[in-house]
Amino acid sequence: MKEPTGLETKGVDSQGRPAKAKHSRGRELYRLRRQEKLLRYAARLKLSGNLIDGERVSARTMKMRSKLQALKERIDELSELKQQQVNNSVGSIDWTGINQRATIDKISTIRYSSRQRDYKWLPTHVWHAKRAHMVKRWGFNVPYEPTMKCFRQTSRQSRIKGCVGFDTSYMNTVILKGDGVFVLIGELTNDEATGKKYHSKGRVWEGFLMLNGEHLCRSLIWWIKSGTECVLRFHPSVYDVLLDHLVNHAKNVEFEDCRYSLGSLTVTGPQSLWSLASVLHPSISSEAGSTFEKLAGLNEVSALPVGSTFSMFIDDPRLWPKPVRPTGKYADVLDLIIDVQNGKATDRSAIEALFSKEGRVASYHGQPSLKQLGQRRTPEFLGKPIPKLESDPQIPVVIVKTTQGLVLFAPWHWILPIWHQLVHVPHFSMGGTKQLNQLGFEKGELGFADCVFTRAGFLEGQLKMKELATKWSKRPKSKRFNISKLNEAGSPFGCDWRYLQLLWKYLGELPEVEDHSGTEFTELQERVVKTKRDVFEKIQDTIQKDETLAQLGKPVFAQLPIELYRGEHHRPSTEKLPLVAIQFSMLNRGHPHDNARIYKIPETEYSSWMDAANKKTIQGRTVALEKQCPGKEHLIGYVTSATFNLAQGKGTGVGFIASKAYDHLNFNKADFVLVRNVGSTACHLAQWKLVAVQ
Amino acid sequence: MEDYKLVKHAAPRKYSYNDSKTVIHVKSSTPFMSAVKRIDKTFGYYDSKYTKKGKPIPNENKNVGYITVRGMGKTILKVMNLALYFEHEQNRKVEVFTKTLTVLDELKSTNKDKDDVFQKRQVSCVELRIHFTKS
Repeated sequence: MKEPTGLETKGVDSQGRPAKAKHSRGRELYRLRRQEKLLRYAARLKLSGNLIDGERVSARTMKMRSKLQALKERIDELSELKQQQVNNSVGSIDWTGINQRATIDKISTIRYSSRQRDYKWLPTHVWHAKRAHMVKRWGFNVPYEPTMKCFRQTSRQSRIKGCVGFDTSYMNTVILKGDGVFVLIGELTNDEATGKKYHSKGRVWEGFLMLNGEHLCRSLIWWIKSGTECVLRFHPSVYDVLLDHLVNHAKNVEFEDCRYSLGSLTVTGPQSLWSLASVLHPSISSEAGSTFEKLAGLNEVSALPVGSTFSMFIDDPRLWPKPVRPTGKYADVLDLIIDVQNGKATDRSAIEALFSKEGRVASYHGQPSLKQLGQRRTPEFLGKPIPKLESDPQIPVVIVKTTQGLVLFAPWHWILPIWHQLVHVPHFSMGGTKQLNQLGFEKGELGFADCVFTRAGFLEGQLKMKELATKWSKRPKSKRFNISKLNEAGSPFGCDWRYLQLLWKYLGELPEVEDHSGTEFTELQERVVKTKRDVFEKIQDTIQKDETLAQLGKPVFAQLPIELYRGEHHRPSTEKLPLVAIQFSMLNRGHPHDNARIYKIPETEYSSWMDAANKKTIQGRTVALEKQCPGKEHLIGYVTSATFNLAQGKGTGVGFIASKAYDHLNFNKADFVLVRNVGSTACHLAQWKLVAVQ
Repeated sequence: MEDYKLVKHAAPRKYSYNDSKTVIHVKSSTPFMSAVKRIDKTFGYYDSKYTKKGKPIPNENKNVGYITVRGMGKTILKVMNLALYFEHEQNRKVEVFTKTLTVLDELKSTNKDKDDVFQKRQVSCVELRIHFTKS
């Protein structure tokens, strides 16, 4: 910058333009803000005469110098008290909560502590924050979707070439130990995960956790020691509910909450095994390590059975300058895959080390910083791996094949070094939670937000609905679409399950012969359903009542309006609407979107719909149907997620329909339903299939 | 075998990024014409290309002489039809090879106390080599 000469006009630069107001930026600004905060603390101390921990001092009689001295001593004392012993130079520490919730101590997050007060960072946060949209959910800052457009890339890399990776460290892992674990897991999984297959043979169980008769979330259970110790991995949205249950109700169970001490990466796609193998270098020659290396060349699309597990100790991936192409011989792969199912690729000591606090702390012992590694990379090792020292740590890792892909578990502070190497593998791309959902939906599986029968999934839908409604209401009247003209079945902003529940309830009350003698009310001022019109009026009445309740601050959904249909033997509660999950694909035309409406084809129109659907023009293109959409009384469900599916070359989606409608469709052997997007008058034929929720 | 649910797995094959450009796997749900178009497009990729002024752009894929098409089980019929199509409609040189592949069958036990069973099964497979050169 030019030195001022003293001849400039005040407030104007040399060009005559008004000078920009000077203010501090970046680090300087941060330092000043911290200073201001500290001064405020000091001022409060002066006024009240209390030290931060509450001890009283007569501040008035003290001199400034002695005040500072007292503060300094106090800070030293407190910092010694708080500081845990760290066995490495980079401050990696294990934050396991033993029989209590895990918390992150200030020690290594002091730099950005104020930013992580409510939403903690994943190990790869800084990497992701530059490249992805982040959302604050479930106590974490989670990557939502990459900044670059990636719909096609994600789909193709997961099926044809390359692979897609996700940092899924936000998933919670709890290690359960003790004699009561068997009973507890039995309660949580309806005795499904306590079969011999799982607890003594070590197969991985994936399915829904149940608590108090409600579905919680999809989870993973892996028995480490038969009947006495297991790993439970679940979605962070149910963390509070599950931990409360563990703390207050579980008997004879000790648990280690590894929320902030075990991280995980998910990699999926044909190249996933190859990519992992080019980053993970087994540190000791063991059968497990060599099996993993031999399988590295395998094209991993449905070749490995779900539940295959690998575990081993690996070297610090940063010793290698870049990922190394796996060189293992590719032969007798089928025998190897079968051996993996029998536990040939698992190293017991690695499993025990990874799922114990001592093991993870040991893996941080002597963890070198990047600077130290840089000093060891002398010119003769340029482009080659740095020779390993005896002090270099061995890292326990576990890889499990799940329905989502290969999940790599590693100690929290080793996730970042592994991730940094992994992203340099050719044809690797990253994804966020949105991409995970996309991949699930392309396979016709239910993602997290699709599971509307779980409380977390239901609330997620409600939240999205609210957000869109507020966005809509904030637009000027001339710029927003007119909701009242749409005459939509339920809220146009999402899947209105409450509407569907009421519709099916009141349609059930409708007499076979409609009575047009006029509106009637019961003593409780409830409308009597006599005609179809009454049904819709009564729905409006109830929804208005709900809104008044909500305004009074009373919970409307203490009970969810819907539940998952669990077969005839399970008697559903009378209030809740039982739902069945379906997947559908458009028969010829139509591009379904999220929140589309599903109708059954009215019996009188069935044949005409079928005829019209099969008509073709000369070019072989199907004719756009100009058929009217069925009335609201034919509504059977909503689509939770749908869009054009690149794997199938047409629009597909997943959704839920009322179980009675499902019975009706099954009885009539009707393979088709109608799907209509929100705000559209065009209805399209779709072929549906049941989705087994397990 | 009522207690088991059969899960079929893909025939294990080696991962190679370059294979995605030269090897085409036909499955039973692939329509015949989409397989034809996909193969045609791959030929287009390896065709010699020219600049706007008519100068040839150097071809980096000189070593690739043919495109491999594979299908197994009930797709063999479709693959053979593809062979006939390219041989007679496009006058290309087509070689046909037969193979036997071993695939993995997973018998998932519906009984939680019984272990899953893994079996090997042999499937016949047909491989076509459709050459770039026309006869």
